[in-house]
Amino acid sequence: MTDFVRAGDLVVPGDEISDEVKRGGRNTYLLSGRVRASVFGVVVERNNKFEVIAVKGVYKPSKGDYVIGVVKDVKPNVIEVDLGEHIVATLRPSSQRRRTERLSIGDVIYARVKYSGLRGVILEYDASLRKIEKGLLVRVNPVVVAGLLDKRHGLLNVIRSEAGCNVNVGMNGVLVISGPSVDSELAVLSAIRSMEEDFTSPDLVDRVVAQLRRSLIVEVEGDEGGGDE
Amino acid sequence: MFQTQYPSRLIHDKIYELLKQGKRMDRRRPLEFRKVNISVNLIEKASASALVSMGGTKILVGIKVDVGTPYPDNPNQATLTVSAELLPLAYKTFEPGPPDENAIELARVVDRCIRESKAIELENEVLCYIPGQRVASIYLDVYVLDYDGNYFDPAVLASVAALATAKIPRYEVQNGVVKKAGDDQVSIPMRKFPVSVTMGVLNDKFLVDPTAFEESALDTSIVVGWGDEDEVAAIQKNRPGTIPIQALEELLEISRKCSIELRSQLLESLKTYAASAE
Repeated sequence: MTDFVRAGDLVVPGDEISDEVKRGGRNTYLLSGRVRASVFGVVVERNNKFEVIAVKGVYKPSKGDYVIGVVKDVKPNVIEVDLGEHIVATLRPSSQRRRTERLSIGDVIYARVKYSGLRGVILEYDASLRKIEKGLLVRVNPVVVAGLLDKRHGLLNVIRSEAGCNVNVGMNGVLVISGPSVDSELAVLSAIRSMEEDFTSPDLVDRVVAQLRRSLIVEVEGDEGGGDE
Repeated sequence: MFQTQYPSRLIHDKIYELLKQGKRMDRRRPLEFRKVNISVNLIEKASASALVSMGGTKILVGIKVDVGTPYPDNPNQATLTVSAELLPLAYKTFEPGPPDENAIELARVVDRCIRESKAIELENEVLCYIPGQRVASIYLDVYVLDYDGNYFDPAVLASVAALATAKIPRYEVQNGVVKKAGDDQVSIPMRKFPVSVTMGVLNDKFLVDPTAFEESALDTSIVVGWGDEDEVAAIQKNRPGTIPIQALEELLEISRKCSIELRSQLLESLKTYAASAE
């Protein structure tokens, strides 16, 4: 009943994660009674299971993931949603839960994965589905997603208090940053990009905060300089 | 960034919001070109070659000059044939195969910029060997090697840079046969240095030289080729969408000013090359 890693640790294939068989999640395998990592990535803990988010690699959707996508096509019975990296998920509007707003091509939505397998990727059409109306849409390495969602860091709260921005995080590596001004959103973006370079150091939060503060100051100064034009 | 081939409302609104403040995602001003790099004469076997990068977009142009027959409607003119390829390695949506409509459009726009501005002295005796029978055939090939938005402007730049630095054999006519005159080489005689400016339109705001990310958000865009400071050589609206007539006048004036700036960069590069070649 021991865990050999903690959330946030970097593992290579074969590294032991736990000897509790039930704690094996995505990107892990079982060998000799131990749950081990099957990819090179960062360990995260979800639903009492350990899973590994690969440092480099395509996002593999699984049931229950929250993702952000762009509506690509609206057909009579199905709505196609682009989740990036050639994954096109489908939404099947059911008449029981009629939405007041209809989705159209170009809309950005936040949805939960209902099924992912041989039949493709299907998203839930229920209360968990919502449209994101405004913000900065960006694509990041899924490893950054692991860092952002890690409760120990509390990065989302830090971003909210430092820059006043909310970050909608999709497990497929898509984020929507929305804040009081474009400059604050871009500052958060540069801070998140800095995470992509080094996502394992223990002072991750401090670095992100430092980067945020630097970017926010730069933007304000830039405004003052060009304000008379 | 999240680039899509179909519009995303969020990206469209965000770029427009930035434009209203006179800003762009890559910190450029709305009417500013990306950094341009021009190098010529990289391919030994070609009559001419030029590699131009504009930001992340890289275009290679190669020129081959041969002896051919003129078209019947222009018997005393050398022929110019422009072709373009959007190489699959350049962008995720470029597929292998014969040129698609976008590649053909690129070739046509480059061709019109050069041909309609009469940039090349096609009737010059240097290119016209036996009038009505044998003339120079100039083959100009455009290769998009790396795409990050706007392949038109660097393609025109590279084409003109290559034409301006070309070295072709001098031919002479002996007993009705066109022969090379020893190892003599001549340049392709040129009158003008056409330059094109691509502008994107987002609601009522304009931007010059869009990146691939910005292109996914544009309402429409337009390419204007200028033969020189005062003469438009070609116009192409390369995207679906409408442009109000009043906006068109403003766009033409913007492109004229930008073309002057771009042409001076081109001429500067050519001067530097000429100086180093001596």
